[in-house]
Formats: sequence, structure tokens, C-alpha cells
Amino acid sequence: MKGWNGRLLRVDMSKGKTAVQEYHEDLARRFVGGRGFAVKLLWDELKPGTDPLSPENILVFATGPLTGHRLPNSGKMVVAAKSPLTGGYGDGNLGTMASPNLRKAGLDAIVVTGKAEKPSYIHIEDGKHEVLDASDLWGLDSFKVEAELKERHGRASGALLIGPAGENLCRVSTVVSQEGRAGGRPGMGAVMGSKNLKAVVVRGTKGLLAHDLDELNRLGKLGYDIILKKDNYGWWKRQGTMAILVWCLEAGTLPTHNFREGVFDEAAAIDGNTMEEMTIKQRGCPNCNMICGNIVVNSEGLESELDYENVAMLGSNIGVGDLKQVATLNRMCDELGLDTIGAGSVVGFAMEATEKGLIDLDIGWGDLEGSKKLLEDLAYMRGMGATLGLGTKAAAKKIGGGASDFAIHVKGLECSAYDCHLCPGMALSFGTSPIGAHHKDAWVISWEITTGRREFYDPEKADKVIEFQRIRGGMFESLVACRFPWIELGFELEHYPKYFETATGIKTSLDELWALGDRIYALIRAFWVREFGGNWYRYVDYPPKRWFDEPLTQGVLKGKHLDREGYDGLLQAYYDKRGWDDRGIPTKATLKRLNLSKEAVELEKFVELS
Amino acid sequence: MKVRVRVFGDLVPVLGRNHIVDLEDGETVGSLTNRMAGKAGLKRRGYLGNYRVSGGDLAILVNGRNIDLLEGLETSLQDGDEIVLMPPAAGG
Ligand code: SF4
Repeated sequence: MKGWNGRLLRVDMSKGKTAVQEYHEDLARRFVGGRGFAVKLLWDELKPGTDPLSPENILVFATGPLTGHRLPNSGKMVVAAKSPLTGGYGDGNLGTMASPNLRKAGLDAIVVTGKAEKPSYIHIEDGKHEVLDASDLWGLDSFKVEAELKERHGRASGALLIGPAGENLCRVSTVVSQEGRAGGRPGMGAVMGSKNLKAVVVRGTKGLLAHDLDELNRLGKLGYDIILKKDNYGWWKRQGTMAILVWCLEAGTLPTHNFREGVFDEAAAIDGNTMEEMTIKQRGCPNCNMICGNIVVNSEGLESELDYENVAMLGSNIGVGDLKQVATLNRMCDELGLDTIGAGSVVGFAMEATEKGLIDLDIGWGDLEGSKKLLEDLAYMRGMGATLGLGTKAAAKKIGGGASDFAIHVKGLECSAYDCHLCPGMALSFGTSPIGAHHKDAWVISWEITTGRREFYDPEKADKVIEFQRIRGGMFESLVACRFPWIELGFELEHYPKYFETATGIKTSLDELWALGDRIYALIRAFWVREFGGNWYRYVDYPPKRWFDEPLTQGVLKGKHLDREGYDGLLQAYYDKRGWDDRGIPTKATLKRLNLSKEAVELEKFVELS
Repeated sequence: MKVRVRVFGDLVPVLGRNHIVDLEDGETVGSLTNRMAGKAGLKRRGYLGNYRVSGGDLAILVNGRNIDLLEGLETSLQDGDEIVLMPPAAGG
């Protein structure tokens, strides 16, 4: 089996033991890597109903067959577990030096179970695997821990870390690396924390194997050159994802004041042009020539890495109209290991709950000091932070008084930064995302708006969501490569089957990669259904109530809102096209077609299949 | 009559950001984009920068509504209208 190392590292934190396991070829053939590996391992090994913060939860770090090769944007990895924020499947990807290092240490994935007696970290150096004491690192922010670990284990190593948020089991916590790269929005930081796992440090020095390494390197070099020559490369390098802020403002999709207004008067002060003037340098993931992290100096004189999601959620969504201040909140999140999107949503929710008199907090819209204090309270789960740190869905339930009406989430995961009052297609994308409301799977909003049919609920939109989910959530997340060359610069999809074939020697096509995507989606869906059992129904796939019931209050879209009937029709079209029944559960025939017959037998123990 | 035109993304370096454009009565979105291309000295017919004016490359909004939902490039303009030229966005 070329292209994969064929080995994963098992770490039992309770016993402090590690073991290398050669995994079955079927895992690579049917699930390829990254997200595919993660969901298959969780499906096979996690007992349904497991408390996500118990030692029994399984935490997976997984790379794919392209990871670490000199191929465009191949420096990412997937982190996954059962989510303590949603109770379902949770994952995320992040760019980190840990990815190429893991592969060069001869491993494709790490599977962590148990709970260490005291704070610990996993150290991997080629063939050496050990669990080390992290008592002196516990409590440190993610920047300090990384610096310390690199001091100990060498600058060439890669580290995956949590900050205080993960340690204190705050549910809106991520895994962090390289001072600003973060992944695992559905509380993956808390899962690490629950295992007393502060960090994973990896150093690998072996050469990577491939079916035809010379050809792979040649294709990679060609790919990098093509990217450099793309028309909008220059524009991308100037603003990265921040270019879209002004676009969202114009389109009435910029999250403003907890997703209720759609227009932010101070947007010009936090947009891509303002950032360009402030940018002092750029940073990115390994193996990338599109580096998109723009570093600015924040209101406290410290560096902070910005992108659109952070700025919208910690800016317009909470009323902060000063980019330096936004950068201060952003850096705090990165240090504390808070999810910038989730935290921005929780702070906006808290501001609105305070305004409505439902909670007693000293915080108002645009309030920098109040926001800073709340971020700390979230990370340390203290005071009101102990409730809000459970995420908006659970917090709203505890607070009561109608707070659930303005908790902006799907399945418990806070929506990322696109207001969908008048974007049914993007709302469907949030509704059917396999982890809760995240844009990474199907960012159809640009297509939806620029094709000019945003008010319509045509089935064509369900097609587009599925197409994007196949490409982004299926192919990119399991080969494990960044989607940006394709979505942002138009780097052709046809490169990827070629990369895969050259790396592994296995023939494939885009159609086969779409089938892989469909298989992964069906299994993730099965995972959710197995966890929720009889409590699973189609309304779980609905976007936030606010988008239906409270029209936007300002701007070009004033008065607009989603239509329930229209959305439900769109959702049904999505189910029909996927071969899922009207509860949103894959039918027996669909599971069989996707080569998931064995998995169907297991699912039938929990729910009757159509 | 006068209309306001707002330009986004990588079309800004090509056309400039905000414009007030004087039009004759009865002019359409198509004639407006021709005028703008002419003013910017663009030679390639039917294009603004790298984007084809018709055909879905470029979103053109009139008072917040995409011209595909109106009469396309034939959509006639009124005094005070606001037109947005929006290339496909990067960001997600
Ligand atoms: S484009 Fe950005 S997110 Fe993607 S690999 Fe490069 S730096 Fe990382």
C-alpha cells in the first residue's frame, strides 16, 4: 500500500502507554484519510452514548495520502471526536507543522483514549513515542506552551496544543498550532482537556514514500507554478479571506449584532482595505504558497493573525468597529484556545441577553473591556462564563426566557460568519453540515448571491450544496489538502485525482472521489443518528429560528427572512438527492450503494431504516 | 439623471471604487457598463477587467437586486439608482 504509511499510533492516556498499529487496507481504500479515517474509527470503536468528556471518548488526529508531500497546500490535518458541544460527530482541520512531521515519523494518524492522572503531553520523534509530564505547562496559554515545547524538542517539530479553554472544558474551544492556526470548532480543545492532554509534539525525519515520488514532486512543482499565475493571486495575497467582508456587507450577509441587522455602520474600519494598511507580515500553513494569515498589531501592541471569520464574529457581530480592538480579542482567543467563531457568537448572544435583561452582565455592544473579561471567563468557565462556555444552545436553555430564539447555531455548533436571512442555499449548507453550522463543507453563498437567485428555493440549490460537500467536505477533508487553491483561485479540481494516483498507485477519478464524499457523509450522518436514536428528526437540520422569524432590521435586505415552507422543500430535495429518507437518514439502498452494508446492520440496531 | 455605482473586489483597481455616473434617460445596465469600460480605457469587448459582463461571472445588483432577476443587461435605470458590480468573492 504505497502512499500511506499504513500505521497509526494508539495512545492510552490512562495507562500512559503507546502502541503502533498497522491498520487494515480497507480503511485506506474505503475512507482514504483525514475525515474519512476519523469517522470510520469513531463509528467502529466508540460506544454509542459515550459522554464526550469521559475517558472513553476517542480523539483522532488524522492526515491523508497527500499530507506532507510537496503538493499545493498539503500541510493540514483533521482533528475529530464525539463533540461535547453538539453530542454528535465533531471535527476540524488546521494547518500545522505537526502534519508533515507526523507523516515523516511513519504514521498516518494518532488515536487517543483514556485520561491521564496528571497533565501530560504526547511526544513523537520518529520511532520514539512517549507520554510525558505536562504539569509545568498546564495553565499556560497556547503561545507560551508552543514556544516552550519547541525549545525542548527542536524548532522543526510541530505542536498541537490547547489553551486554558480546553483545560477547563469550555465547549467553544479548539486545538491550536503556530500562534493562530486553529481547528476543531465543536469543542475538540475540551476533549483534549478532558484527557489531561495539553499537547502533541511531533518530529519526523524520514522521507515520505509514494508510488512515484519523482512524478509527484514534478506535479507538485507544476501545481505551485499554476497557482502563482492565477489571475487573482495578487489580490488574494493582499487581503486573503478578508476581501469578503465588504462583499458580505453589500450583500446584507455580514453578521451584525448577533445576526439581527445585516448592516454594520463601522464596517469600513474593520474591512480588508483597513487591514491591508495595518498588515506587517503574513503567515501560513506548511507547503503553501498562498499564505493567507495576515498579521497586524493589536490595540495592545501585540501581533494577531486575522481572517474574515474572526473579524466578522469578533467585530461586527459584537459591535466592535475598530480593527485593532478586534485583533486584541482575536489574539486572546488564540492564546486561550477559544474558537474565534464560537466565542464571537457567544459574546454576541451574551450582549443581547444582557440587553434584554435575561442575564446580569456588565457588557454592551462594542464593549472591548467587557468582551475581554467575558472571553477570559469563558476560557476559565467562571461566573457567567461557566454557563456561556457550554455554547449558545445549552446556555440559552439554562437562561430561559426566550433566549433560545436568539441562540445562533445548528445542532449546537454556532454559525460561522454568514447571515442567511436571505440565503436559503447557504442556510441549507449550515443546516446539513456534518458538524453543525460551519461553512467549510459547502460555502455556496458566493455562488448563490452572484447567480442572483437568492430569494428562490429551487432544488438546484440542493444540488449545489451536495456538489460542494462532495468536493470540500469529502475530497479535500480526506485527501487532506486545503480547499483554497480551488475555491479562491480556480486551481483545477482535476489535479487532485492525479495527485492521488501518483501518490498511491490507485486509479481514481473525480466521480470516485465524489462517491467517497457521499460515503463519508452517510457514515457521519449514521453516527449522529446512532447517538440521537429516537430523538433524531428533520428539524435538527433547520437553521437558526431567528432567520425565519425575525426579519433583518436594516439595509438593503430590511424586512427579509427565510420562509419555513420553502426551506423545508429545499431540505426534502436535498434528502431525495442524497438518497436519505424524510427524517434525513440514509436508506438501506443508499448505504448499500455506498459500500456501507455492514455499517447499515449496526445502524439498524438503533433506528428502523427505510 | 445620475446613478451611483459601487465596485468591489479586484475590480476596484481597474475601475475605481465609488462613482456617480451621468446617464441619458432610458439608459440600461448594459450601456452603463459600456460607459464605465470606455472611461477606464478597457479594450476587451463585453468584459470588465477579467470578468465577462454577462454570463454569471460578475454579479450586478440594482438597488440590491441581481439583474438576472430583472431584465439582465436590458434593465433600465432610474435617477438615484444604486448599482453594484461584484466579482465572485473569495473568503470561504
Ligand atoms: S491558503 Fe491559507 S489556510 Fe490554506 S494552506 Fe495556505 S495558509 Fe493554510
